[in-house]
Amino acid sequence: MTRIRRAIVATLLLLIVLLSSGCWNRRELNTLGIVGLVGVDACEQGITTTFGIIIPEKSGKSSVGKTEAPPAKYVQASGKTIMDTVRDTSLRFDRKLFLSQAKAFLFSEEIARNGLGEYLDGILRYPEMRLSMHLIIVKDTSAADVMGVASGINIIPSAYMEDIIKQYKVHSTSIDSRVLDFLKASTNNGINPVVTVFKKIKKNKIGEKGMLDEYELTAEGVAVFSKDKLVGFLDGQETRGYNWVIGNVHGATITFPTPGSNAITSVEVFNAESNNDVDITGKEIKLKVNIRMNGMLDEQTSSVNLQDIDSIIESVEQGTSQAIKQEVEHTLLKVQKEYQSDIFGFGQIVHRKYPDKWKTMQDHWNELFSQAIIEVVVQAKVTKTGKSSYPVVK
Amino acid sequence: MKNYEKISPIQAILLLSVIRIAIVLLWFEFENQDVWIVQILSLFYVAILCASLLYLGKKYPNQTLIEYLPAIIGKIAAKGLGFLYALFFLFLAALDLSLFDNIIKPINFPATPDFVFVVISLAVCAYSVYNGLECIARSAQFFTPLIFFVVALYAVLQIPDMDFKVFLPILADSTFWEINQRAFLNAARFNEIVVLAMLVPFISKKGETIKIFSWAVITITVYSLIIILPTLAGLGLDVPKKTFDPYYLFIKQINIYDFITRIEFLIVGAWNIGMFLKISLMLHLSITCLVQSFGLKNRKLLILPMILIILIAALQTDLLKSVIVFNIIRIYIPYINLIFMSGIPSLVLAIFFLKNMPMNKK
Repeated sequence: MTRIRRAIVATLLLLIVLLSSGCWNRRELNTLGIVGLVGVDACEQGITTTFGIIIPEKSGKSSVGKTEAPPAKYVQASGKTIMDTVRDTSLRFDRKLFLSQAKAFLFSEEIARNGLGEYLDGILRYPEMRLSMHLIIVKDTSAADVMGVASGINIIPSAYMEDIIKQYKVHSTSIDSRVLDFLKASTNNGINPVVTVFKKIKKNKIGEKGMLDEYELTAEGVAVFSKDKLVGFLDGQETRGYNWVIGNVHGATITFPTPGSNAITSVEVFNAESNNDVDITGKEIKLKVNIRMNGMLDEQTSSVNLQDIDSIIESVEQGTSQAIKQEVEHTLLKVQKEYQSDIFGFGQIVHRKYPDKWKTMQDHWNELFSQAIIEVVVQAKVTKTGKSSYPVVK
Repeated sequence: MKNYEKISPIQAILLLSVIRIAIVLLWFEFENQDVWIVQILSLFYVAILCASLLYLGKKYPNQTLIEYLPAIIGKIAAKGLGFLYALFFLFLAALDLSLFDNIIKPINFPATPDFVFVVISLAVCAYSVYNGLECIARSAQFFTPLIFFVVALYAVLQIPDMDFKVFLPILADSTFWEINQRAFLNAARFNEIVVLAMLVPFISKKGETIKIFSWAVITITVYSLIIILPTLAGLGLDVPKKTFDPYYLFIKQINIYDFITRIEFLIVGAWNIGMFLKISLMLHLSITCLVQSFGLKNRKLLILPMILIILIAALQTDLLKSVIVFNIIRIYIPYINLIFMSGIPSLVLAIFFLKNMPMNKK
């Protein structure tokens, strides 16, 4: 190898080392404003977007029992689009916003009623955004208003919200909706989206002054959409009815009057599954929901002795089935008659089972769905009675 | 016999597979839930469209397409066609570079000027072209299994989020004609046959052309399905149509118990290597076409001019615009491919048969 060649190769290698040490678009951590939450509210100019920015040095410390400054800062900007407001924050905030770590996108009820599609377009296009972010509709107040609330163990509002959302599997009276789920459902003719709902509620005063969080958030219920427009809400029990239908109940406690007495029985759900079908005969459309559930007797306030196991368990199972059936029928009827929006995906079943009929039905499926006949069958199995066969009450 | 560089059959299979999969990783098109039928049915059309070149490759196992053209259609026509094939490969190199730029730039390098991206990419490719086909083939042999492993890993990790009901109802939303039309157009994307026609004499084992191509096509189809089907099962059929890079969108969703997350960086590595191999090979073949058509002695002298042509095409035309590049790839590429993989070879084959008819031999 000649000297000149060696020199060229050495120079090139050095150049590669220099180029490899960082990229053109490098953004050092201390120049970033790491966004945890994004809240969008309507305003005169269009939208006001509130960004919850995590302060990294605060987030590792617990503030339980202390009156420390919160671990997040908030910056707001108004504009016509979300991206417009992202840039606008640079006029007032000393860090460039970094949206890749955002846990959730919150929209106010007003925005949601006008349609979320136009705002989700930016989320789909912008490379920093992730479609796995939680999507939340804020009920009864503005999105910005709930963003500072973190009354759990986790003191970062975004993490607090995410932890609450993820607990839907414990009670099944809420759901975990993500931006991708919304996009999938809102662009499909056979199903409409549902979205997590957050409400800010005042806490009862417990404990000494100064140790209190004044407000807390609840994720009970869901927001019902028709395409990308909000059409209404389901409460907690109705949401569980919805979860029964789509086979999304992972855990819950069913409470119902004990058959043959004035007492109350609670049954814990171990697992559940649903099998939905649609039958079309002439002009009649029948929506069939078949739910199978397996659970354990959790609590009973009666004096029924479970040693007569067969007949008693049978009556508990009947009571459970009846309670689930009522819950599901009530939800189906409400969604059918009040919202006329197929959030359960029966349209997709019609598409799969009756592809030819679907071609003529798909454009007015929600209307057909609202007139369909419902048939709900529930088979509850109670296989365990907890740690006891004998009730405490004599 | 000329002293060709030598590549093994397995290197040829991996090279042919990776240059196609590199594109599928960046972009793919589908119409509805019958996409898997289209992919499998297109094997039939691939066999038909590639028959001419495969037959000619069998007849001339020691020559490239450009080298045996003069014997069939005469020297002047062969020079013209050789030049056209050189342009074809150069165009594919420029187009692939543009596609790569359009996918990776918004994700990783939004503020990096186009010329920096293009210059660095081309410099790396030029170096591998300088080192020759063996270097490109060895790189393919080393990296392709890694790329395939990453693709398989992504598919396995996304299993919990897949809903294969999206592929129902089968054949209900497509007519027989539509399915066949889509399969034909998908088959017309397999321009790897033209690449193979240029690689035949370089392959160390003679008479294996059809076997190599068959294995490459099967590998491409299997991995295309491993990329496309999980993506659609994970994202549904509507969301992928709204984005240029559905596969990237799909793998960004991977989340296993909040433990395995954000592992999409692996695909960026696969993109880089795949496109490096593809652009390098296209450049190499373009230069080979010119060298063999016009009897040039030193192929290395052509590297810089070819790089400059791509550079000018990329920076001085609209080639880097998203709408332009995706329209070309989506709409025009199958038809352009058809000319070079089936149209011209079929004409050449017809002349070959006419010349070799018994009465002409007399």
